[in-house]
Amino acid sequence: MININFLTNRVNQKGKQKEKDVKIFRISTYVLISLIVLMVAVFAFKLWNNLQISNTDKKIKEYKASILGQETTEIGYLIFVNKIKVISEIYKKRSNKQEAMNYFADVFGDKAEIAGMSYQEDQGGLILQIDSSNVFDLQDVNNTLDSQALRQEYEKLEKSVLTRTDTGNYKLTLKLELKTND
Amino acid sequence: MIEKKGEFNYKLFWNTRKELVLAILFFVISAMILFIGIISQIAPIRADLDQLKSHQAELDKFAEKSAQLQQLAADPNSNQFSAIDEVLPSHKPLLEILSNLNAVANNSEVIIKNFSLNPGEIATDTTKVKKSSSDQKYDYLDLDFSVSGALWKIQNFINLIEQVTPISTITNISISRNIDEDKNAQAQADLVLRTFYFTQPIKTTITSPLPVIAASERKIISSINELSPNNLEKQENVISGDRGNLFGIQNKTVEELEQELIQATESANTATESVQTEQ
Repeated sequence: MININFLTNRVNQKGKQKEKDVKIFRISTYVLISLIVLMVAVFAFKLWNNLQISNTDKKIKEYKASILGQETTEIGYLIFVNKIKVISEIYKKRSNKQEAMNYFADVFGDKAEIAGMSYQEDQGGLILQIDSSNVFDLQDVNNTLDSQALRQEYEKLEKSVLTRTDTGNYKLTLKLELKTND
Repeated sequence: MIEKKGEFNYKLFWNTRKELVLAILFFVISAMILFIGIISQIAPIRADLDQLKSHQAELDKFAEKSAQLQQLAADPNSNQFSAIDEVLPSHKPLLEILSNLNAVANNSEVIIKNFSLNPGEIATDTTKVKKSSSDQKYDYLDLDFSVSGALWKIQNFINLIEQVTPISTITNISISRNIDEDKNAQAQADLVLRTFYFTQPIKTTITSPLPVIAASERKIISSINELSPNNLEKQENVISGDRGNLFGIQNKTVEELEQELIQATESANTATESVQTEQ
């Protein structure tokens, strides 16, 4: 009978197995430690987040208290801004009627007098009645009305009615469209 | 002799494969830490980050608003906030209109006649007809009146009346002159003066940002600074005529009056008791 001693092989085998087990153990230890560190970091981050949120909420409360303390200033400012907007709207709707009235009161010189004037804001037009004492003055008035300078100022000007009175005066009615401040 | 293989020998396994057992245990614990301690925290952390972001945005808004309010409070021009009430009051400026009319007429040397004003009553047809802006930011009072004087004086009146506060606009003009008979005839003008007042309710919340004044509206501020202020003095106290000490209680305090009443009551009771005793 031949005796074969497998002890050496077995010892070698066991040795290699142990080495492998130690290697696996080392890896598992590293993994565990890493994950523990990661977990601690996650919880630390979560805690920091909660602290930030808490600080932010505290600051928000302080600002709210500050804003409430300045309520009077805020209301005064809001009223001011809203009133400015309303005044702006009112100004936009205003037309340049005074400017037109003053212009036509002076533009004809002594050739014509303003005998009547009518204005309604919702219609936006100014109606003027001009009185000339004779036909020559009327001619001059007509030339002035047709002049480039006047037409540049008031593009939409219409001569509507011309009448002659018993005293020989000529009354010319003008209609002009006024611009708004829009 | 080969031993019969039976149950698993845990003790032998532990003694011979200690490192492997511990490694397996460590892997199991690692897996638990990974799923319970890390992965399950991702969603809550995301939610916290979103919450922090939104709170930070809210904080920035509040900080900006607070800074703006402090700047407004420290601004030397903040007195304009109350000065705007002169230009566009929040009440019907009836007395102001009448005061302006009188002052401007005197200044322009024109004569006012035939004026009528309908300030309106609560829930009447008049107020409904007179309602102006559809979004109810402002309303107006219309004053119909006539003036007479030289044409240039009436023009001056029309110019001046729109330059006093509260803000007013001449909406209707009808001027006539009988120059057929007299070249220097006085003009007669029928005018409608519309005076505006503010009616918009102001609402705000603590989170609402402060509105910004546009550049075009800033120009309006310089325009309204050129308006002439109304000279009507505000009445803040009751002004009574001096009718003397009608009831004999003038210049007495409430406590003094109480004492007098108590004493008067006691003496009246004493007198009543003595009368009853005599009877």
